[in-house]
Parts: sequence; C-alpha cells; structure tokens
Amino acid sequence: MPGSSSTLLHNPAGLAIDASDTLYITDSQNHRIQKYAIGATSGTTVASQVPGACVNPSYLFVPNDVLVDSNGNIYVSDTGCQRIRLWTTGAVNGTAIAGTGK
Amino acid sequence: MICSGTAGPLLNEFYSPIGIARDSSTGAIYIADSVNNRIVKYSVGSSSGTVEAGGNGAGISTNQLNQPNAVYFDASSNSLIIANTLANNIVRWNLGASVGTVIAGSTSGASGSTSDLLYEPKDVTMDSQGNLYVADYRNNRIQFFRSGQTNGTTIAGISGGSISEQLSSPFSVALDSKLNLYVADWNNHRVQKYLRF
Repeated sequence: MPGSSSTLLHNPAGLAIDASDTLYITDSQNHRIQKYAIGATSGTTVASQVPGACVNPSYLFVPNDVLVDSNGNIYVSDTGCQRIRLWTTGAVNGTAIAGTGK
Repeated sequence: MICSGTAGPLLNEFYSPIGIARDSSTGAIYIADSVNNRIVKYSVGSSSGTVEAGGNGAGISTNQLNQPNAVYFDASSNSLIIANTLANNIVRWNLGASVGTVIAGSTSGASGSTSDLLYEPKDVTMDSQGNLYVADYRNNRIQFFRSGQTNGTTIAGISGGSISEQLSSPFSVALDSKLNLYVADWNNHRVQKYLRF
C-alpha cells in the first residue's frame, strides 16, 4: 500500500547505493528522497518538497532518479520541474544545477 | 498538477528528465532527457548542456533515441549505456560518437517478452564484469544479460503482481557492493532486494 510515513513509499522510481551500501530512493509521489541504512525498515528523508514552486531551489515535484557521488552529494532529477537539483552533503536546502524549468 | 516546470528543447532546458549518471573522473553528469529523445551532458559548473546521444527526434535509426528513461556511465569503455525505453532496447553509445549500437532488445524497436526482447525498459545497470541488469518495466521482470550476449535470463519477477515473487512495473535497478540487486517495484510501492545472482 502506498503511504507517506517513514516506513512507506508511493511509487518509488529511482535507486542509488553509496559506497557504504546505504540505499537512496526517489519516493516520487511523496516528492522526497528517502535514505535507508542497511537492514533498516524505515527511511529518513534527505530531500523533500518545500512550500513554494519550481523556482525554489529546494522544491521537488515528482522526482524520478537519484544519484549519490563518493562525497555524499545527492543529485535528483526533478522531472516535474524539468530540472536537476543537487543537495550537497548534509545540506538541508538544494540547488538547481541544470534546467531552467519554472 | 499543482506545479509543473516549463519544458523545452533548448540546451539549458529539459522535457521530462529522468535518469542521471555521473563520470566520477570529471564530475560531469549525463541526463536522460526523455521526451527530447536525447542524453545531455553537463560539465561541472555549466549552465547549459551538450547533446551526447540522440537529439535527432524519436526513432530507431542509429543516431536516434526514443524517450530514453535511464543512462549508465561505463567508465571501463568510456561509453553510455542507455535504456532506450520506447524503442524497447538498450543502446551503448561511445562518448563522442554520432551513433549508438543496440546491445539488448530489438534493433527494429519491437517489444516482446521472449528472452531476446524487452518491453519499455526503464533502467539499466552494469556490474564490473560488463553484465547488464535491465528493469523490463512492462514485462514486470528483471532481465540479466551476460556481457556480449543478447539473450537474457529473468532473475526477478515471475509475472505482474504483488506477492514477493512478483513485480509490478519495476522502474529502477541498483547493485550494492556485494552485487545484491535492489529493484524499485513502482506499482507495489516497495523496494525489493535479491541476493547476488
């Protein structure tokens, strides 16, 4: 069943796994990126939709893929906003790094 | 939709960008710009991209893609492995090349469920041996292609459904350091893990 609690997902669309085997999931219809440590049954949100619109660098709308580099930076394809966004390691807020969609 | 970005065909625009890959040696990212039928490269700090693959309209000619949903960067061969979704195949595109080569699925764009065909593959990844793992979305299965082979083996998903042996619209695949396979089981709202094949 779909849901938005920390143990549920709604149309998970993209996956990434870092060097420590931590799993990152684009939880597309919840407009967020969830992070799961090995064996965890619940996720923590590392990027999510903030109030506003696509022009907000931290906004997400139906993200579809996620990529994590060796420094822990998180790249997200924000399909609904026609942009690529970046959350640098530990950052609360994202940055739009490609695409002018608004 | 409460918010939708403005899509476009310019080199600083996307139309439904989906898959992302990265070349860790340069930091460049590659984006499957699906409805623009192309893979676009952004170098670090660039505000505009360059077309790396496709961009010649939707089609099955060797210089075309058809709504590619995912891209994987293969550092060992300096090429892109592309889930060419609506052409029902997987394409290898060497960086700098003007054409790609179908390495799995139909060269004519035909869909199907036999071992040599795919039906709207949504994602592809590769292990260090060059074996491919494909999220064969409309066939509700994960196909494994040994390096260089065009007949695949189904390693996950026996049919569409929600019991643990089944997948429903698998959207993405990923491998961990031990080659365990993770599948984004989109329509079952879960991620499934399979021990190393």
